[in-house]
Amino acid sequence: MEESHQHLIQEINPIFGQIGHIFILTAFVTAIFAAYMYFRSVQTPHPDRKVYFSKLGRGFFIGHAIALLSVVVTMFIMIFNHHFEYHYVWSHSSADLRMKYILSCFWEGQEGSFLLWTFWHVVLGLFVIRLAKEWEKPVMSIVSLVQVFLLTFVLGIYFGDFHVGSSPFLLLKDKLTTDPVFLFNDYMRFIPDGRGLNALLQNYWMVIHPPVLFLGFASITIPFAFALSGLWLGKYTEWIKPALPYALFSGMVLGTGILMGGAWAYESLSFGGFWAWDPVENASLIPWLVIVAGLHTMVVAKSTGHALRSSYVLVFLAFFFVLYSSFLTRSGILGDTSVHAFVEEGLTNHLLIFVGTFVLLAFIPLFRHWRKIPHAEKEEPTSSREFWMFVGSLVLLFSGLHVIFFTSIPVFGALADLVNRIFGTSLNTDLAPPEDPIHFYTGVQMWVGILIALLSAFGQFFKYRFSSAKLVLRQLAYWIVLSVIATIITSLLLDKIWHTTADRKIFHLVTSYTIIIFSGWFSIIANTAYVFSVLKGRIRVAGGSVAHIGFALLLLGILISNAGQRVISVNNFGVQFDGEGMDDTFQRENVRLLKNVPLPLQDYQVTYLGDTVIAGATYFDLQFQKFDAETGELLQDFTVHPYLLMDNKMQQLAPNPDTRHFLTYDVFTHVTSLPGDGSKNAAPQISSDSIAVGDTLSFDTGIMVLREVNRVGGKDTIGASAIFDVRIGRATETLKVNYLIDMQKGTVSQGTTASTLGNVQIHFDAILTEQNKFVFTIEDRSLNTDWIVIKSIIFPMINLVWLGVVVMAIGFFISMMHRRKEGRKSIQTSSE
Amino acid sequence: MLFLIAISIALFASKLSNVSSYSSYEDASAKEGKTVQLIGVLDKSQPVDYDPVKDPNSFSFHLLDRDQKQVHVVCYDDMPRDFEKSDEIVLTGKMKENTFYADEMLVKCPSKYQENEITK
Repeated sequence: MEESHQHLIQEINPIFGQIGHIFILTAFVTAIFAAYMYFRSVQTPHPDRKVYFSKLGRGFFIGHAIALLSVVVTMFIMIFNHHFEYHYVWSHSSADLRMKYILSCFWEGQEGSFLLWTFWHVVLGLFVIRLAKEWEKPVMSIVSLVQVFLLTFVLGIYFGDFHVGSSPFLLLKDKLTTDPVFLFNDYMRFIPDGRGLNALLQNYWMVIHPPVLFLGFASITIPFAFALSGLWLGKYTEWIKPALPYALFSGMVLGTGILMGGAWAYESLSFGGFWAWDPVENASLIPWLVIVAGLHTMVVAKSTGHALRSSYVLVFLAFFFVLYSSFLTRSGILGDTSVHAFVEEGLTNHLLIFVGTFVLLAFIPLFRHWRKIPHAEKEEPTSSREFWMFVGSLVLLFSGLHVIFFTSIPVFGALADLVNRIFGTSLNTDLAPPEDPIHFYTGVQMWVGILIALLSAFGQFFKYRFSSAKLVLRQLAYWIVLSVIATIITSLLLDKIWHTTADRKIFHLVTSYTIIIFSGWFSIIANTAYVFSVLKGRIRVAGGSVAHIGFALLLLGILISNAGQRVISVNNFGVQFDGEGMDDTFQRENVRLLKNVPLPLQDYQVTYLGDTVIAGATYFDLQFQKFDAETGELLQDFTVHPYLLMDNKMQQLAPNPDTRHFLTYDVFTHVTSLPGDGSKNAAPQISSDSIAVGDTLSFDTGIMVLREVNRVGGKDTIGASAIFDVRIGRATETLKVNYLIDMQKGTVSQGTTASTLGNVQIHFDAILTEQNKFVFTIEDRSLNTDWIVIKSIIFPMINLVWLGVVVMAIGFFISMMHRRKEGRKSIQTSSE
Repeated sequence: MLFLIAISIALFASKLSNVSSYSSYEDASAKEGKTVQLIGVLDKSQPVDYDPVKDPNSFSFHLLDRDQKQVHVVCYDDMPRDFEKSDEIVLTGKMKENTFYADEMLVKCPSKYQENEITK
C-alpha cells in the first residue's frame, strides 16, 4: 500500500512506447500483406500458385498475430509497472489499483477496446486457418482486411494537424503538449500517480463483460466473411455448412456478453434493474437479434434451399450492425441521450469510412449476384417448418430494426443538420428519443418476446416442406392444455406474492401478463416434449429446443422480476406528501434511517447499524429482519452492505448496491444520501503540524502517533522515513511516509500515504533539522454517517433471467457442436 | 409474407408519433400539463435544495434552458451523486405555473475523456 505511492523521481521510459508503436505498425503491415496474399491465392487459377500464396498469407497472418500479442503484452507491462509517463496508463490506472482490475484498465479506453476487438479476430482467425480447409483463403482475406481497418484506429500516425488513429503508446507529454508541467525535464515528479480507473468499473463484472462482449462482436465477422466468400467464389450455397457453427458461436457468446453487461448494471448501479434500453445497450443487442435471425435462415437454406438470399442479407446486416453500433457508441453522436456516451474528437469520420467501406464491399456484390443466387420459385408452403422459421427470423429482424430506428434518432438529427447545411433547408434537427425508453421499447418488444416464444414452441413440430396443420395441432393439443393449466397456477401464485405491483404502467392489462406467461410455459413444455417425443431424448441434436427453453425462461424471468418488483422502502413516514405537481404515479421510494433505529419497511424491519471503512470504501451495514406476522418468530435475518467507493483521488463517491440473493427473489439495496453529502461533497479537513518523534496528530475519527523517523538514503538520495501508528476506532495500522532529496538532480520528493482504515491521508512536508521536528499535513475526508438514506427493492424470480441465459447458451453450444460435426463430414466428402 | 410486412409498417407508423423533441422553457410553458422533455444545464448561481432530513424524495434547483432562461425545477426523487458537477440535464415532466415538476432525470457528467489538465 505505501510502497506504491512512494515513487522516486519517476524515470521517463520512452522505450516501451517506441517498441509498442513498432509492434502496432508491424501488425498493421502484416495484416495488409496477409489480406493481399490470401486475395491472390483465391484469384489465381493455378493450383500451385494457390498453395504458394495461401502459405504466404498464412505466414503473414501468424506474424500479425505475434505482433498484436506483443502490443497487448507491452501495454500490460506498462500498466502493471505504473508507467504514468504514458497517456493511456495515466488516464486509466493508478498506483493503488487492485491487481484484479488491471485487466479492466486495458479496455477502459477507446484504443484498448479496439485492440481487444482485433485480439479476438486473431484468435478466431487461427481457428479458421486450422479448420476451414479450402474456405481459409477467401475468409482469411476478408478477416485480414477487417483487421487492417480496425488497426487504423490505433495507428497514431500524424500528418501535421491531421492524424490517423490514436495510439495507446503516446507519452503524456505528446498528447497534452501545452500543459506547463512539461517545461521541466523531469516533469514526472509532478505526476506521481495516474487518474485511476473509473470507480464504476472496479467490479468483477467489468473484468469479464467487455472481453466476452467483444468476442461476440468479433465472432460475427466470421460468418460475414463466409457469406461474402460464397459470393466471391460463386459457391452460393456451400458456405452455409461451415459457417453455421460460427454463427451459433456468435449467438452464444454475444448473447451471454450482453447479459453480463446487464448483470453488471444490476450489481453495481443504483438504477435497480439489468436493462435500461440505453442506446449503447440497444446498439449491442441488434447484432445479436440479427445474427440469430440469420442462423435460422441458414438452417432453412441448408435443408431446403429456401431463404438463401435472406441468409446473405441477414448475415451482412449483422456485421453492419456491429460496425454501426461501434459508430454509435464511439462517435459521441448519442450525446444527450445516453449516460454511456463516450466522446472522442475526430473519430466520427474515420468510423463512417470504416462502416461505409464494408457496406459497399458486401452489398454491391450482393446486388450483382442477386439473380444468380439459387432461390425457390414458389414461396414456402405455410404448413411447413421453413415457413415458420422464416417468420421467426422476420420477427427478430423487425425487433432489431425497431430498436435501432429509435435509438438512432440522434443520428437523424445530425443528418437533418447536415442536409440543412448543404441544402439550406430548415428541417427540425432537435429530435429527442422517446420520453420513457423503458415503457416505449418494452411495449413493443414484449410482443416480440411473445411471438418468438410461441413460434419457437410449435415451429419445430412442422416438418420441412410439408406437415399437415391438423396433425401438428393434434400433437400440440396436450401441451397447449398443460400450458394453460401451468399459466393459471402461475398467475395465482404470482398474485399472492405481488401484492401491489410498483410498475403497472408497463403492462396495462392483466391479459398481457397472462399471454406472456402462457407463451413462456408453452415454449418450455412444447420444446421439452419435442426433445423427448420426437428426438427421442437425444440431447445432442436438441440444441435448438434447449435454447428455446432458455429464451422462454428468460422471458418469464424478465416479466416477473420487472412487473413484480416492489419497492420496500416506500416512504410513508411523517412528512406531508402534498407536494405540488405530484400525482400518484410519483413514488416516494427513499427512506432515511437513523443509526440503530429500526424501521418497518413493508416485509422487513430494517436497522442501520453503522459503517465500516475498508480500503477506501465505506460499507454501510444494514440489518434486515423478517418476523412472522402472527407468532413474531424471527424468519429471516441478514445484513447487506451497500457501499460508497472513493476513487483514488478521494473525490468521487460511486454508490454500489448490495443485493441479497434468495432462490425466488432478490433484495436490492443502495444508499442514496448521507449527512453533509446533500448538495456539497464532504469537505476535507486539512491540518498541518510540525511534531517530534513520540508526538500525536489527531483528526476527526482517530489519531496518528509518530513512532520513529529513520534516515534513509542511497547513492544520490538522502532523506527520512517516518513511521506512524494509526488508530481509527478500534482498528490500528502502521503507515510509512518518506521524504527524499535527490542530491544529483536537486529535487525533493514529499511522500503521501493513505490509510486503509479510514479516508485519511498523511503528507510529509518538510524536515526541520535544527529543532529535530518534522512537518506533516493530514487530509481527512471521513464521512459523517449518523444517518443514511436508502432505497430498497425486491425483485421476484430474477434468478430465472440468469438461468434462462445459461440454458440458452448451453443450447447454442449443443447446436454448435452438432453442426460442426455435420460440417466436418460434408467437407470431407466434397471435392475442391 | 406481405401481410406481415404490412402489419410491421402499421406498427412502426403508430410508433413514429413517439419521436419527440427537447423543449425549452417556453415550449414547456405552452404545453402546460403535458409531459415534455426539458433540456438544459444546472444554474450554478442558484442553490440546490436537498434536505433528506425533511424529505429524501424531492430536491429542487434552477435550470438554464437552451435559451438561457432560468427554470425552477422540482424533482421527486433522490438527488444523484455529483449533481453539481453535471454537464447537461434532461428532465421528463410537466410544467405547472412557473415550476417544472420532473419525475425522471438523465444527468450527463463531465466526460472522463476531457484530457486537458493534469490534476494534482
